[in-house]
Amino acid sequence: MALAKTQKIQLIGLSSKKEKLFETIQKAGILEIKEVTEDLVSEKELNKTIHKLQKAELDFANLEFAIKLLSPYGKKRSFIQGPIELDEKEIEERAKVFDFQTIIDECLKIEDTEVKAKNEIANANSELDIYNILRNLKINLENLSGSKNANIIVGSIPTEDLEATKKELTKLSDLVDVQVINKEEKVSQIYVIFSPELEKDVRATLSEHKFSEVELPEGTGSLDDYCKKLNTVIKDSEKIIKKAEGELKELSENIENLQIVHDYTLWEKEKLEEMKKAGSTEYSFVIKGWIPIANMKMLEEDLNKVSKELLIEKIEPDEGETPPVIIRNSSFMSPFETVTKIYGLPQSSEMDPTPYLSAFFILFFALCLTDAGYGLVMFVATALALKFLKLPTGTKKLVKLLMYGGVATFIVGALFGGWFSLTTDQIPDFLKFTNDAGETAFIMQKFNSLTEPLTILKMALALGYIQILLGTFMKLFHGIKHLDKKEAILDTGTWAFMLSAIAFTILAASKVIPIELQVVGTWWVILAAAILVTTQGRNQKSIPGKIMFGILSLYGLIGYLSDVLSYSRLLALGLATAIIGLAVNIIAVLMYDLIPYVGWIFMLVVLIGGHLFNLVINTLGSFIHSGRLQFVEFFGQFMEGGGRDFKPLNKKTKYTFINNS
Amino acid sequence: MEELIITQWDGVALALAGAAIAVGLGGIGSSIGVSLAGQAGAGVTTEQPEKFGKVLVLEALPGTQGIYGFLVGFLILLNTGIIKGAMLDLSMAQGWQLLFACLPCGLACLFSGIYQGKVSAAGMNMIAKDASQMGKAIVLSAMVETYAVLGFLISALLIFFIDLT
Repeated sequence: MALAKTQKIQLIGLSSKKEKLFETIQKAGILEIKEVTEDLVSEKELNKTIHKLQKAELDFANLEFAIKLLSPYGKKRSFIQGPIELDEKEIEERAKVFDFQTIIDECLKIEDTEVKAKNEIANANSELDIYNILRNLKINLENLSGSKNANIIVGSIPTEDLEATKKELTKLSDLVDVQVINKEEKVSQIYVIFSPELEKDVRATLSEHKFSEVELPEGTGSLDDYCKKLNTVIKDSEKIIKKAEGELKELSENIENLQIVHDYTLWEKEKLEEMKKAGSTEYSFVIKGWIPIANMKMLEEDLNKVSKELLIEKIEPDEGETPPVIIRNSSFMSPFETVTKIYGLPQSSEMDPTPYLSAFFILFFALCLTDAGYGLVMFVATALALKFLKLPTGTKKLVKLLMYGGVATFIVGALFGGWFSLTTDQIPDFLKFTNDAGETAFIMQKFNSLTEPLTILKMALALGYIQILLGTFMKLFHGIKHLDKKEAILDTGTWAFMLSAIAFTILAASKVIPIELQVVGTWWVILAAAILVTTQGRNQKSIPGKIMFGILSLYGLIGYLSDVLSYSRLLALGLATAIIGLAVNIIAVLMYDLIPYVGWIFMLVVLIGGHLFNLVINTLGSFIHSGRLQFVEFFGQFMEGGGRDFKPLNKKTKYTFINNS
Repeated sequence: MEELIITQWDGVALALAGAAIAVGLGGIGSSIGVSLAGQAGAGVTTEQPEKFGKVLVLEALPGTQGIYGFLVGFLILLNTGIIKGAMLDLSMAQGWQLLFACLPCGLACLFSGIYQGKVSAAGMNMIAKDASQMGKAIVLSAMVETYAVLGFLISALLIFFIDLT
C-alpha cells in the first residue's frame, strides 16, 4: 500500500555456478545489481564474461538490423492477435534451435547488393541529367580530347548571348568554328572547335559570355550511345533490386523466429552486463544489490536450489547511496500508479501518494467530462479492449484507469444531467422529471452546469481546498512519524491549524454548520495567525528578524489561495465538454433541416464524428488537467519526488509476451 | 423609429464582433502553436516514425485554445438567439458588454496558444531522446494552457450572467 521496503544485500557464491545463479536471479526479476567497487577482479573470469557479452551484443545488433530490414515485407500481426505469446521455456528452446546466423548473413548480402544497385542508379541518373541535353552532339567521344591541330570545348551558354559569342569567336580567326547542339529559350549548348594556339583567346571570349564547360565522359562512340548504355545500367540495376526484394520477402517468413531470438538475446545481453558488475576471485564471486525485503526469502530459496554453497547477507548501503523506490499497491489501486509515475517516483523517505490521489484524480477526471453518455462509451470501449486485446502491462494499467474514469464519468455525468449534451426537450418524458425549482431535468440529475455554474465553481474550489488540506495533514503526520517531530509540528502543523481554521470559518459563514460558530472560527483564525507569526521566524538570529519573518510567513496564504483557485479549471473543462457537445447537436440538426432528402445521413456523420472528436479531445484534456492538479497543487503540499526507480535484472521483451501459465 | 432600429442592430453587431474576436484570436493562437509543435514533431517523426502517436498528442495540446475561442463564439450565438433564428433585441450597452466579455478568452488564448506551442515543440526533443518522458513533456506544456482555461472561464461566466432581457 505504499513504498516497499528495500534492503541492500551481498551474495557470495561459487564461480562455477555463477551463470546459473544469474539466470535464476533474472528469472525472479527482483534484484537490482550494483557494481562491486572493491578491487576483486579475476582477469580470467572478467574476460570470459566480456567475451560472451561482445558476442551477445553483436548478435543483438545484427538481429535488430535484420528485423528492421525484413519488417516491411513480413506479415504484420493484427492488433487483435497481439504479440507472440510464449512461455519462457519455449522462447529459450526456439531461440537455441533456430539458425538465425544464416538469415543474418543472407540479409547482409542482399542489403549490400541492393545498396550497390541503388548507387548505380543514382550515378547513372545524375550523369543522364547532364548528358541528355547534349545527345545531338555528332562528334564521337574518343575524338573530343582534340588532336594536334584542333581542340574542342563543349558547354552551355545563355541563349541571349549566343549570337554575339558566335560573331566574336569567328572574328578571332578562320580557325574557329562554333556549332549549336541544342537551343532552348534560356540556355543553349554549343561546341567550339579551334586551333590550339587560339585556346587562351577563345576561353577568354567564352567566359565573358558566362559560358560553362561540360566535362564529357571518356569512352568511344557517340554520346547518344553512351546515354543508351546508362539507361541499360539503370534497367539492370532495377532488376537486381526487384530480385533482392523478392528474396527479402522470402526471408521475411522467418521474422517471428528472429523476433523470438531477438528477445532471448536481449536477456543474454542484459544478464552478461550485470555479471560484469560482480567481483570475482578464482573460485568465487560476489555481487551486491537491492531487493524488496518481502522477496528476500523467496530469492534465497530459489538460489539454494541451484547451489548450496551460497551466502546471502544484509549489508549497509554505501555513503551517499539512496535506496531505489518501489511503489506497490493492490491490483485495484495499481492503475493509479500510472499517474504517479508520470510525475516521477517519491523519494525513499517520502510516502507513496498513489492511494491518496486516486479518488481525487478520478473524480476530477469525471468532473472535466461530466457526460454520462461519454462515460458509458468509454467504459464499454476500454472493457472490451481489456477483454479481447493482449496489452503490455503498462498500457493495460492505463486502459484500466480509463475504465475507472468511464464509470466515474457516468455517475458524475448523470448527476449533472449530461447525456451527449442533449437538452430536456429532446428526450422522451419517462426519462425526465420536474425538480423542486420547477425546471425539467434528466432522471438522476442534481445539478445543471449551464444554468448554475456558480454552484459548480464553489464545489470545485471546495474539493480543491479539501485536497490541499489533506496534503498538508499528510505531510504533518508523515513528519511526526518518520522525521523530526518538532520541526514537523512547527512548520506544517501550524499551517494545518490555520487551514482548518479557515475551513471552519467558511463552513460557518455558508451555514453548513451553525452560523453562530463563525465567531469561534474568527478567533481560531486569529490564533492560528498569531502562532504562525511567532513560530515561522524562529530560525532568525535577531528579534526584529524573528518578527519580520513571522509576519512575512502569512504571505504563504496567497500560495494556498492560488492553489485553490487553480481548481476552477474543473468548471471550465466541464463546460467545454458540454458546450462542444451542444454545438455538435445543433449543427447536426441544422444539417437535417437544411439538406433535403439525404440530410439525415449528414446528421449522423456530424453526430458520430463530432461526439467522437469531443470525447477524444476532452478525455485527453481531462486526464492532463486532472493529473496536473495532483502534480502541482496536491504533491506540492507534501512531496518533492525524484526517487530512483528500481531496476532489477529481469526478462524484458520487445516482440514477445511471456505467458508462464 | 428609424434610429431605434439602428441602435438595436448595433447591439447585435457588437456581440457578433465579440464572437468574431474570440474565435479569431483563439484560432490564430492555436494555429501558430500547433504549427510550431508540428514542425518540431515532423523532425522527430522523420528520424523515429514509430513515435508518431506520441508526437501527435503533444502537437494537439496547443489546439485547445482554438476550441475555447470557438466555444465563447458559440455561446454568444446561442445566447443572442442567432442560431435558433430568434434574435434578441440587444441594446448598445448589452452589445458592448458581450464584446468585452469575449476579450479575456480571445486574448488569453492568442498568447497561451503560441507559447504552449513553443513548450510543446521543446517537449518534442524530450520525446525524441526518451519516449518514456512523454508524460512530463505533456505536463510542462499543459501548464501554459492554465491561463487560456482561466480566460475562457471568465468569458463564459460573463456571457452567462450578462442580463440580455
